[in-house]
Amino acid sequence: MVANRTQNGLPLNRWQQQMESFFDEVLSPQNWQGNSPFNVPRFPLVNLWEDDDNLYAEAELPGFSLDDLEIYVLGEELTIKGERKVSDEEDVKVHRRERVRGKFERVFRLPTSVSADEVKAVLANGVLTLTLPKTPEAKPRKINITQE
Amino acid sequence: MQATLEQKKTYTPHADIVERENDFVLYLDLPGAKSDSIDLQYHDETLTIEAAIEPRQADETKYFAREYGIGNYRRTFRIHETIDDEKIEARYEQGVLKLTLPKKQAQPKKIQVQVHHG
Repeated sequence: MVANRTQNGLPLNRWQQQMESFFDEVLSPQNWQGNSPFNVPRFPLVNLWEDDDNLYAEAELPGFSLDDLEIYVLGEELTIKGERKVSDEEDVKVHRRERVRGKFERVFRLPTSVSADEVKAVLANGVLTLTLPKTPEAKPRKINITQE
Repeated sequence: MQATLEQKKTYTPHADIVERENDFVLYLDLPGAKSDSIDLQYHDETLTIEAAIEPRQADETKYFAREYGIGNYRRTFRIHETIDDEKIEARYEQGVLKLTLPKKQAQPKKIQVQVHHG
């Protein structure tokens, strides 16, 4: 695993990693490193869940502000796109570069329709949370039982 | 069972490290961490960064897509350069920890010159 992280020519003469016990494959830098158009980065990773009233989407976007992000809901499709602008100072020696940089876009098909006008976005400590209210048709209906 | 296992997972945060003339600058992605939940230690040329992360969703949450897990962060680096550990600076903002680690400068020593007049 450590070898994977150093194969991209990053010099490790002074910084040598210890105790790299494991890292989750999903978060492996190999999933997003490389500039090949055939190696489209999967960033950000997203968790999606729901309750009776809303769908929720959460994404880890450290270092971003809401201004760096564009969030669209069109029909049952959610799009999260943006760009991480990182510029190195001049005259620095790069020892490691694992953090995602550059443009990204992800599109998700939602399981129900949502009220696009009422979507709420909160970004706190690098975690984006979207609350997407279900349309009345998409909510589970409570059926009144009448007793005769 | 699955949920319990995942809660105990520790994740390795992504890092950028650059070296400047007088210091190293390290950026670590720690999304979800709060500044008071981050623990930094530098000892014997070894830098350890840990952050405790509380679950953000209830155990019974029904996910229809789950691409990442939420758990504590931990990463350890060995630095083969003498660091002035009293001057390490840490700043946490929007899920990113920035550490500045100044290199220890060799102090110019004033040498007393004694002149003996023979």
